[in-house]
Amino acid sequence: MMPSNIGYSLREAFTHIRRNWSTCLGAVVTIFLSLFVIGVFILGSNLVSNLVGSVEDRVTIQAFLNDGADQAAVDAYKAKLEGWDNVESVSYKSKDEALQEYRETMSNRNAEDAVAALDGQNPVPASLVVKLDDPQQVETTANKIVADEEFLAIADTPDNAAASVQYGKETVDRLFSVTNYIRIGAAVLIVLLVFVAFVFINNTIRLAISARKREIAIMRLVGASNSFIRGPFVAEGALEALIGSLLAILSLQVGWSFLKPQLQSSLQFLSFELSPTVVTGCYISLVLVGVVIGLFGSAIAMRRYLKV
Amino acid sequence: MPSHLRNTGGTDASGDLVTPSTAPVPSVVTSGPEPVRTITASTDVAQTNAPVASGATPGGLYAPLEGSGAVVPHTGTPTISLRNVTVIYPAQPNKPALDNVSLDIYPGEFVFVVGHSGSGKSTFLRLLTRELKATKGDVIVAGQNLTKMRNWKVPYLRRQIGTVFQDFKLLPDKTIYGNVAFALECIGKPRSVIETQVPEVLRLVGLAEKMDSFPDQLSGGEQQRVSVARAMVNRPPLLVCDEPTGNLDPAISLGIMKLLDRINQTGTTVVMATHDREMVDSMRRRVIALEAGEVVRDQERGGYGFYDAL
Ligand SMILES: Nc1ncnc2c1ncn2[C@@H]1O[C@H](COP(=O)(O)OP(=O)(O)O)[C@@H](O)[C@H]1O
Ligand SMILES: [Mg+2]
Repeated sequence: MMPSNIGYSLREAFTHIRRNWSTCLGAVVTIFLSLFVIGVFILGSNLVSNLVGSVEDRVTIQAFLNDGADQAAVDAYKAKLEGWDNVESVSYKSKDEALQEYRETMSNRNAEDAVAALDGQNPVPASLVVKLDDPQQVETTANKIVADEEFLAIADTPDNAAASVQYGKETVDRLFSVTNYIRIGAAVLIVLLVFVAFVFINNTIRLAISARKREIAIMRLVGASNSFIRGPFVAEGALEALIGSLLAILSLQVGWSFLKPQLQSSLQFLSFELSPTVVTGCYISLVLVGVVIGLFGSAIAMRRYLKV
Repeated sequence: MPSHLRNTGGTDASGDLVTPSTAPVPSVVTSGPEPVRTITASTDVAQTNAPVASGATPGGLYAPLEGSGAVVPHTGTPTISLRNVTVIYPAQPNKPALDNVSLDIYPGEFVFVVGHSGSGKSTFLRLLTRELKATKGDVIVAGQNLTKMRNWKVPYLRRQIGTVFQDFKLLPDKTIYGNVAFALECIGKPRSVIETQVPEVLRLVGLAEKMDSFPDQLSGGEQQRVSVARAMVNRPPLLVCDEPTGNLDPAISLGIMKLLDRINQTGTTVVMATHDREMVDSMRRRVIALEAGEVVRDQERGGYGFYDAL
């Protein structure tokens, strides 16, 4: 039901918005707020998943091996692990490599003394490094290794197998629970705000309809088509939504350009880059969601208050 | 537009109403190809049945209008046809507003619908524009059965019918020009058409000078002329008026009546509900009298009737 009279409808919609700017502002602000929150959520979750991605890369299981373990048994076990469902890859880290890594970390922390104290010995065990397809499965997989008889035979500490298997349990758990909470909270907030935006749009369109009662009666009289009569209200709903979504985009853009340098300077080791396609996609979907809210809000108001 | 809704009579073929300056409204007597109007049997009835009315005319307010009063032959397809129409409002289920009404109105006729308040005049007129659907029976306007008409088609029906009401229904924040132009804007007419037709029709109703005034700067009679102009600007073949002079002084009413008569003489079918006895008696046109939703009289060159009650 695209109105054939776009120019006329827009003029009428502008006039009504100008004359009733305070109620129309309510509609614009609620649309703006809900879209802003949606935008923050989209961009934020994108950012977080970038960060989580880099953290997830590090979510691996290290299974430490006994110094005396038979190399053939280790290779066999490596092959077995690679056969597991959830395992992406398994690599062998020798004692020398592990020591080298240890040295680097220590000197990064300016703890050269600790390295010197090693005094030519190598207390660091070799290990199998297991990467997983699904990082959320890390605990299950680790427990499975611990319980595996075959692993016990080559484990660094056979009497306490659990101590031979390590993974970043706490980091992972916390990260997932936090992002899940954020997701649920944002979804609830968005549903709430979208509902409020509907109510506001509905209200302003109802006012617009009652402000134009006489005109609508005359329009019917002279044979205006239904789409013509509805035109100004559709236009007003869409216009308010458009203004709201442009405001949301503007504040996201401005807000991010202020926030990004600050985050970057305080958390230098993380990357706060958002890809331009993600940002553009986000903005386009905000406009679309806004216009859908506006059109639906006015359509519902017209169904209830405009019998044509 | 169906051919039988086209203006008939002595107008030019296009049915052009609104060119009084170049082509004075032709009187029925002088109009060219129109066959001699026949006076039907019902006219004789009218003359014998309404002695009071004819006696009242000379002393009345209205002298018979020149060129009016000719009887349109009832031939061809009727513009309006009601077949056993009953209308019952849900609020009054036991008292039909119209009760089994059948009648035909032919192209070019001028018909008064008279009756007491509440007799069903407005109900009848609202049927014609499909503001109201018949509870029973068929209402056929312009060859279309309105009882069966789909809702989305109604606007296109209304573009062929001009409507005038007692309360003018003008928009106070639009000028006279704006009010008339609005009717054309609403149906998507291009600006060029609006800019030629609106001044023309305002000249026809004698308000060319007041184009830029607002309705509240005009007298009641002038406002009603504006609403007639708005009804006629799209040159509809049918004009429906619900007590158009109900709010006006007798002298002002006469002017409106003359205007409607001129419009009728260009071939437009006019159906007018009225309370105005003097006017009906002086015009001597077809009169359909309603009483409690029933047609109690339908006569050519009729008078108002109901003398006892008024
Ligand atoms: N909307 C309505 N609801 C219920 N009854 C109505 C309605 N409109 C008119 N009526 C009734 O229908 C009858 C005819 O009314 P109407 O056509 O308005 O008469 P008129 O125009 O001759 O005064 C009256 O009895 C009136 O009370
Ligand atoms: Mg009435």
